[in-house]
Amino acid sequence: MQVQGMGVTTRAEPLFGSLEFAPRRPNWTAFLPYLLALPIVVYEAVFIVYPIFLGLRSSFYQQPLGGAERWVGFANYGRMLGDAGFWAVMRTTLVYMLAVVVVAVGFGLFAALVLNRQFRGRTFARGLMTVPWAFPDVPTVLIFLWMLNPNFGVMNVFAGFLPWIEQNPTWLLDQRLAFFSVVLVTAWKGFPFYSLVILAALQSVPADLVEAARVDGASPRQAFFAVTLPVISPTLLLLTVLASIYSFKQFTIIWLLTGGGPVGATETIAIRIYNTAFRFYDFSYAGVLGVAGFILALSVALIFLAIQRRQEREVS
Amino acid sequence: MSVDTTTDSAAMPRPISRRNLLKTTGAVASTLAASSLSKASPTFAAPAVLQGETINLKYMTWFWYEPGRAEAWRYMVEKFHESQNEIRVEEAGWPFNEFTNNIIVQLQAGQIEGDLIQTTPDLVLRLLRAGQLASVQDVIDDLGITTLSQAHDYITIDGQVHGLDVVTVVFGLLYNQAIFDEANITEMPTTVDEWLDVSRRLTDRPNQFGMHSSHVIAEPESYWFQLQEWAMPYDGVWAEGKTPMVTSEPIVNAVKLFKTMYDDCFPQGSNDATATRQWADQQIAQQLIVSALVNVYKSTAPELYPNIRSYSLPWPSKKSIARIHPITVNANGPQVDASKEFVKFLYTPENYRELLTRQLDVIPAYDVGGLEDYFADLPWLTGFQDINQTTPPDIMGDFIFNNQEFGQIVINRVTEVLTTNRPVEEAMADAQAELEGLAGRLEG
Repeated sequence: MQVQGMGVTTRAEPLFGSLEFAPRRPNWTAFLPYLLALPIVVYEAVFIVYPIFLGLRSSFYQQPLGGAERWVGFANYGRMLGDAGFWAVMRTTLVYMLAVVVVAVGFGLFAALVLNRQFRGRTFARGLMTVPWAFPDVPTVLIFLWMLNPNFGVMNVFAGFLPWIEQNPTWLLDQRLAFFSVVLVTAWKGFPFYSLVILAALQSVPADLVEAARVDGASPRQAFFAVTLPVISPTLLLLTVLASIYSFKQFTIIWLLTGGGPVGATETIAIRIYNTAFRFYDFSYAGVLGVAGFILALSVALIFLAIQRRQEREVS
Repeated sequence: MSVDTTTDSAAMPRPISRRNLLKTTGAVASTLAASSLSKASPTFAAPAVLQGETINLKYMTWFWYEPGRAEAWRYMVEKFHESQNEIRVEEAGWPFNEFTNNIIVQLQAGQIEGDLIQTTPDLVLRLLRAGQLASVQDVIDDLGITTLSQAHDYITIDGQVHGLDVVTVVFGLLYNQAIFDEANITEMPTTVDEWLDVSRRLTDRPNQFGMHSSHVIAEPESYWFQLQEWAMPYDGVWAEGKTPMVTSEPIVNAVKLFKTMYDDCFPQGSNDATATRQWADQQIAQQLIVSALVNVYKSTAPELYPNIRSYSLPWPSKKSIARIHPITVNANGPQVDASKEFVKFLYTPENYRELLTRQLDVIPAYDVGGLEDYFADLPWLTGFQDINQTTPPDIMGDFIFNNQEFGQIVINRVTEVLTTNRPVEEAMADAQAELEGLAGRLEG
């Protein structure tokens, strides 16, 4: 019997005299999963991996507009590491991510706990809560720009209730207020999604466990921390990572509200990359910043994976 | 300011790059295709324009998105189509805010798609340095034009002009006559102090604001675009060659004036859209702004238009930034000659006059004559006629190629002055240090 294929040729004597087995037909069904995965692999290779590769490559070159590119090795990385502006942007990015995670997930948890209780109009309230999430970013920001206008914005009215506020705050011109405003709008836009996911998780908490804790004398607060929170913590962890990624790649809200200002107070890495590439036309340096951003995003994802595996090990 | 002419693509051999490789491959493929066709048909293939075939030109500009100006340009294109049958001009491009970015990205990717490219004062220099622009000197020579404005000097290399201005905008002080009348102001300011005083008198927050200039950091382009003009009252320049000048006395004074106006007269925090609405609602009395905006107001706020006036700049030098916007021909495009035909059509005196008047522009690029009646009908014009022009390269030095980055550094520091009351000298010293760092990275 001669078997050919995959570059291997073997010869064997027939086992039963002249009786010769027919060659085995390849099992095509074994290839089916690969075949089905092929389109997405090709798509990712062309539209994700290749651009990442090009970005990485460009970080090692200097290319004047319309001119020939020139290999510069790690010079762009050296420039980045010595650039005080870069470190300021990284710090702003991390603080912004943290603030958005805390506010959005925290408020999402609070809203979910409220909406998990029985009250009249609960269905309507749940529907209403999804509105911010359903709104497109641009009109949302435009409305907030009007609300935050120092001359006639409605937020001035609310600020006026505070006893120490004498003049209308310049919401988007003052560094601290601008950062606060950007975090607020980002969290407002994102929290309904987190809230809905937490709500779903809350409904998977066994009611008898909570009931048993209450019977044993636990207060609602104790029951929440001892029973509910441990059950929904994997969901909260996942949402923390999602919120981190959501805030990390946030561009539209920040760009339209403050453009990264004032004085860089809201300039995250996404804004800096855009400015460097498409306003200052320094594509090579933008490539390096992109690599830094990629590493940061990857780090967040890896930390999440590590924590998840640890939790899985603990459960098993 | 210097323009590096050594980067001319025809004069300088380049190493093989991905772009060149693609070009070469394309050329080889075209040659092979052409040779196979020539075997099938031995007849001589004359240029399309000689064969009477229609040539389609892509004119990339932001004008198509500007109320008032778009109609003027569509009229001129239609007139061009009626004047001949061989060449058709197609609309292409993006709104102004996206325009330069998209052109630069196309350039960086290897090829600009348009045959005719509308440019700004900054963009034209970038394209010129990248060897993308064809000379249009032959158009000027054919038309016998000898009075082309000096603003074209900076895009003229070896006696060859590489673009022809179709819109010159110049900064001036526009004001709302009705608000002035109501405040009983009949004497126009003639000094900076008087200007400040009048602006304060016209301010009644939160209902009325004596003066407006862009100052919202989320709109860096218009912020910097307008802030540059504030150096003019003190004859300042933002840079000389590769030396930033933001700590010079004129610039420090300019920022102090901007800060005072912000504190006392601006609608603080109003972005461009809001300010335009406030101006149309007659809540803003004055703007230091380019003449081209009047055309926009005529279309978008017709009730305001009759009240718009301008007065002579209240500083001795009358210096103001004039920005030319040259139409250029893509040297690497397939239709250079046909593109020049369209430019030539636009620049004939009769057509140029018509274009200028339909756009409500007020500064002709050459001595076209016959505009007296038109000027007499523009009551808002007077202030713009009494101006001593300067150009962006004159005030930005070699930083003209890094204008936005320069501007971002400056407006960051100016915003600190506005919102945290940081001393101007201190903030500008920080800006100077950052700009000196930028100077070290200047190309060329």
